[in-house]
Amino acid sequence: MILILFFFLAPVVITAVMGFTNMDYRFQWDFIGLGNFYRMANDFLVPKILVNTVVYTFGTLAIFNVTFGLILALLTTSISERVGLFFRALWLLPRFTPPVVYAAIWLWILSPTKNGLLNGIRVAMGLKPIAWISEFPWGVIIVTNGIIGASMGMLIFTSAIKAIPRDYLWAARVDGASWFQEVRHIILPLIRWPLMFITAYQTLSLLTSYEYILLITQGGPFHASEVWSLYAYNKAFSAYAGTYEFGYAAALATVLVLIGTVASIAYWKIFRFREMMAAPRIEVS
Amino acid sequence: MRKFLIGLLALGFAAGLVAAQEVKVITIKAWTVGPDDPSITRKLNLETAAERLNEMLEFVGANYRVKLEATFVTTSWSDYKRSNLLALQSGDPEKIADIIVTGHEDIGPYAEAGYIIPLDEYIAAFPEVYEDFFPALWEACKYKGKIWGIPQDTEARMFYYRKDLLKAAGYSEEFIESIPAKVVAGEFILDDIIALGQKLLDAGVVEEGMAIWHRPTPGTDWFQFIYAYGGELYDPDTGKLVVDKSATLALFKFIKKLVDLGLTPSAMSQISWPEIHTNFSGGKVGINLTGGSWNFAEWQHDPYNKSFDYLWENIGFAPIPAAEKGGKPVSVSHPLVHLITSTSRHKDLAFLIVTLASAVDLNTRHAIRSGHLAIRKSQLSYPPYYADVFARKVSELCAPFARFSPNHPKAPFYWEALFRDGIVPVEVGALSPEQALEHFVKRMQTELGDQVIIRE
Repeated sequence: MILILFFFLAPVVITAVMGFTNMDYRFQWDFIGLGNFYRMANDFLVPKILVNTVVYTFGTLAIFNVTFGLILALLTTSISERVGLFFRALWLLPRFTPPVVYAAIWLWILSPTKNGLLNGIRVAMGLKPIAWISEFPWGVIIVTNGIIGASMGMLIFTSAIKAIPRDYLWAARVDGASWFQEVRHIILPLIRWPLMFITAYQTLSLLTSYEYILLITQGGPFHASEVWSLYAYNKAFSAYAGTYEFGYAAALATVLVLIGTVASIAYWKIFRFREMMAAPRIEVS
Repeated sequence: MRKFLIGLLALGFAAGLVAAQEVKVITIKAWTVGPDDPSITRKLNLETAAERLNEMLEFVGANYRVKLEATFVTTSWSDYKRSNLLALQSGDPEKIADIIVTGHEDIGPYAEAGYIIPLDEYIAAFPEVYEDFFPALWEACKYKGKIWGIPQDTEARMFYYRKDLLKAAGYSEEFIESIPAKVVAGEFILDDIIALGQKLLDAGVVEEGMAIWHRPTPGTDWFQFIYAYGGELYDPDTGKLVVDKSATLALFKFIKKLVDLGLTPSAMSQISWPEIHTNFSGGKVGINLTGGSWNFAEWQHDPYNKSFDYLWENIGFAPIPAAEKGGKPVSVSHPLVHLITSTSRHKDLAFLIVTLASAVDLNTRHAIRSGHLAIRKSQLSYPPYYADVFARKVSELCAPFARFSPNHPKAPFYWEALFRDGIVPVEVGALSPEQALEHFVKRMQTELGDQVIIRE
C-alpha cells in the first residue's frame, strides 16, 4: 500500500496539481485554474494527436502485441522444445537491445536514401528509394514498437499454453483433431485469461509509451506519428531547445491518466476480471 | 592582465596570506558541451585557466587553490539543456555548476528564473580583457539592459559547395572561385543556388535528390532565410517576437522549389547527421545549404577523416546570399556564453576562471581546433589565428554579415515551429507553402499568444 501511495498516487496527484499551473522554466506554481484544459480543448493539434494515439495503441495491440505474440507462442510450442526456445530467444533480442541502439538500427533500415537497408534492396532491384517514415508514419511506429511488444505476449502465452494439461491435447489428437482444431477448441479457450490480461495490460502500456517513436520519427513528419504521451513530453522538453511548458504538459499527462483509468475500469467490467481474481471454488491439494 | 589579477588577489586575500598554514582547495564546477567532439577545448580551456589561476595563487602565497571539475557533453543540445534545467531548478549548490557554457538563447529564460547573475560589475573590473571583445557579441549576451554572459565563442553559418562537382558539371574554375565575392556583392542570390543544384543534376554529376541538402533538424540556421527574404524576427520596441508572413512564405516556396526540382529529397528531415556529413564531405552531395564553420573541423575528424588540404581544395563556402540582386548576404551566428550561476558559492573565483579562459591564446586554440571564430579583436593579429586560412577566410566573408537569434525566452519555440510546422510539411508534400504559412502562424499564435506580432 505504501509503495502504491509512493510510486503511483503521489506522482499522479503532483502531476494533476501541476496541470492547473502555468509552470515553465521558472518552476513556479502559478495556479491558472482550468486554463490548460481550456487550451487543450482549443489546441488544433489535439484531434490529430488523438487519432494517432488510437491508431498506434490499437494497431500495435491488435497486430503485434496480441495476435503476433499469440502466433509466436503457438508456433514455438508446436515444434521441438529446443528449436522453440531458440526462436523465442531470438524474438526477445529486440527487448534486450538498448533502445537507442534498437532505434539506430531502425533508422538505418528505414533511411530514405539508398544507404538504408530497405531502400538498398529496392535500388538493387531497380526501384526508386521510398521515404518510409513520410509515406507510412503509422506503419513505422506500429512495426517498430510491435516487434518489441510481441515478445511480452509470446512469453505469457507460451507459459499459459505449457500449463495446459497434455492429456487434453493427446486426447484431441487421438480423436483425429488437426493442429488448427486443437488451437481453436482447446488452447484458445484455456488461455482466455492471459489473452485478456495482455490486451488490457498492453493497452495501458502502449498509451503511455513513446520512447521508440521519439527516437525513430520524433513524432514527425509534421506530427504524423506524434502520440499523446510524446506530445506531452515535447511540451515539457521539446527536441532541440526546449519549450519547458511543464504546466500544460502535466495537464496533458493528467488526461492520459484519466483515459488509462477509464480503460482499466472498462476492461475490468468487460473481461470480468473479478472472476479471474476470485478464489477458486474448489481447493486442489 | 596578469599584473592586475595578481594585484587583485593580493589585495583581496591579504588576510589569508598572513595566517596561511594549510592550503585549502576550493572546487569550482563547470558544465560544458560540444556536442561536436572537437569543441572539447571549451572544457580544456577552463581547466587550463584553473591551472593558471593556481599558479597565480601560489605566486602571491594565497592559502587556497582551485580545483575545476568540468563535464563535457557530446550527446545532444537537447540532453544537455534538459539536464541543466532540472539541476538548476533544484536550487542546490551541490548539484549546480558554478560556470555553465551554453547557447546565448538560454540567457533570457535563465535570467528570468533567477538561475544566473548579471555580470556588468565583474566585466567592468577587467576592461583590458573585455573591451577587446567584438562589440556585436555583447548584444547576444544582453537581456533587459544587463549583460548576463561572457562570449565563449562564435561561429558563422554559410552554405558549402563542392568545387570539384561544380567543375565536373561544366562551371569554369574562375566562376567557382568568384562565388563568395559575388555573394558578398549581392550579385549571386538564393535562386542562383538553385541554378547550381539544377546544373549539377542535369549534368549527371549528382543523383536525383542529392544536389542540395540541409540540416535535418530545427536550428537558428533557418532564421537566415527569413532575414535574407527581408523579414525580421524580433521587435525591439515591444520586446516581442515577429512573424513576417511574406518572408516566411518566400522561405517555404524556396523549399518547395528544391523538392519539386528533384534537388533535395522530400525526406530530408529523416536523414541522419552522419549520413549528411558522409555524403557531403565524400563528394556525393553538391551543396550543403545550412552549413556551419564548425563543420570544417568536424570533417577532419572521425568518422569523416578528410584532410584539411582535401577540404580546402574541394569545398568552397559563402554566407547565405540575399534573396534579391544587390541585397546583403546573411550569416546567423549562435554565440556560446559562459554564465555564472546564482547558487555559486565562489562567484568571484568562477568569474576569474572564465576571464582567464578567455585569454587570446586559449580562445584561439579553441577556435582553430573546433572551427569557431575569434571573439577578441586582438586574436585577428595573433599569429596562430592569422595563420589559419580557414578562420581568416570565414572572418572575412561571413563575420561582417553576422546576425543573431533573438534573446527571447520563446525564440527556441520559434525555430522549432518554423521547421516542424512549416518547412517539413512543405518538404514532405503534406501542405502547400500557403497552407504551411497559415498553419505556422496559427501555431505561433496559439502557443505564444500576445508574445508574437504577425506582420503581413
